[in-house]
Amino acid sequence: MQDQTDDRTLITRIAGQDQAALRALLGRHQLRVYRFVLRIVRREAVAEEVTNEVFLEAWRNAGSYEARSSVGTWLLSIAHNRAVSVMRRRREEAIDEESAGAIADDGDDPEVAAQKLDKAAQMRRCIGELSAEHRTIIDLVYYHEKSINEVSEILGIPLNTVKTRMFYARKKLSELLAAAGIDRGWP
Amino acid sequence: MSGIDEQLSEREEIEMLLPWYMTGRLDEADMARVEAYLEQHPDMHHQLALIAEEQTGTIEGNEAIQPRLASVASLLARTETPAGAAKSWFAGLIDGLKSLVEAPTPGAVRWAAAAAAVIICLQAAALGTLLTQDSGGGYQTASRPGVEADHGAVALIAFTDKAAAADITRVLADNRLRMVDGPLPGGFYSVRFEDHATGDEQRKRFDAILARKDLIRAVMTGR
Repeated sequence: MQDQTDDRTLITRIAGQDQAALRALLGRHQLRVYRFVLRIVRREAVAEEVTNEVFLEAWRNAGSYEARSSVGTWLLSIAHNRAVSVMRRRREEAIDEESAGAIADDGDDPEVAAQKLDKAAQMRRCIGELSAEHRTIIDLVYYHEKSINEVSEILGIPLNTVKTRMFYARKKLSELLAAAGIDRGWP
Repeated sequence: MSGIDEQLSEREEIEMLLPWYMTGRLDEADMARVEAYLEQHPDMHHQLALIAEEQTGTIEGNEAIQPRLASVASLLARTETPAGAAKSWFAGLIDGLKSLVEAPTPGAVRWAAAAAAVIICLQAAALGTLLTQDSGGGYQTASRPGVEADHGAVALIAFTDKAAAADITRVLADNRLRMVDGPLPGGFYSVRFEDHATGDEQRKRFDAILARKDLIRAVMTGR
């Protein structure tokens, strides 16, 4: 709760064009926002630029921030919109997956191949193989620890859709693990 | 209650809430509801073990991402550019290319417009190259000193079909350039300098890049 209060104080100061406050906000949220974006766009250079744009938007729109949600949720909401916009553009351009800056495919990594028997490694690989939609909600719930309401706000989807999407993401993950030889006994 | 809710059994509803139960992000009423169900249905604890594995994997996957973040100074410099400041024609051109792709128009029309824009770009690039080669003046960057030069896209680069990802990465790194967007229509990528290179230094680097005919199909810088 104290963190949220501090974040809101920072936003108030940022609305007054206080660069020191922006610097502090970056220190608190930049890495999480970057990771969230990278897991969607999968390109480091693009993720870096989108992350910068998120904080620039926060800088420019701090005055219109309404404290109905936490600052972290607000930033992730901006990040999601921008990342999805980038993805939509790339999809329409039939992107070449071998372009510079792409994240290496775990499946091509000999070390990962050698870890085939490692259940934890398989779990990470299978999460990476989920669709962007499923991976995003898994990240929001498990890594960013967002509530149902917060996920709904970030993704712009109804509460029931949040619950069902998470359920199907978990189900798909179990199917991928089963295909990799790990039977979890569910679903 | 929605149609979905009406069709769900109590077990399914509880099952859907479990991830948030594990992260402690349920409201009090739902938390109590899940706990009551778990007490009566110990078999459901198996789900909690699965969710714990999933959460561990997700956290590990995220924390394995090494930060590659622009310097705070670079970002702060951008905050000094007024939101409504006029953009260079070059920045406008990049935005224009993007907007063509994003525009909510039928695909065929959009692509025809994008193709036309690329032809114009290539013509401009060719003219620019000819002009600079004739005068021996090299290239000019899109930005005015101190504002966009440090952070905005400074060039559009298109690579040859033979260019491998590793070669592209190397030639950009050798010249302290970073890809910031792309591919744009026509296979162009926007790039910017990672350091505060002077105009002469930027010109030298673009000359070096353009000399790599095996990798580079076109370079377009602007003023």
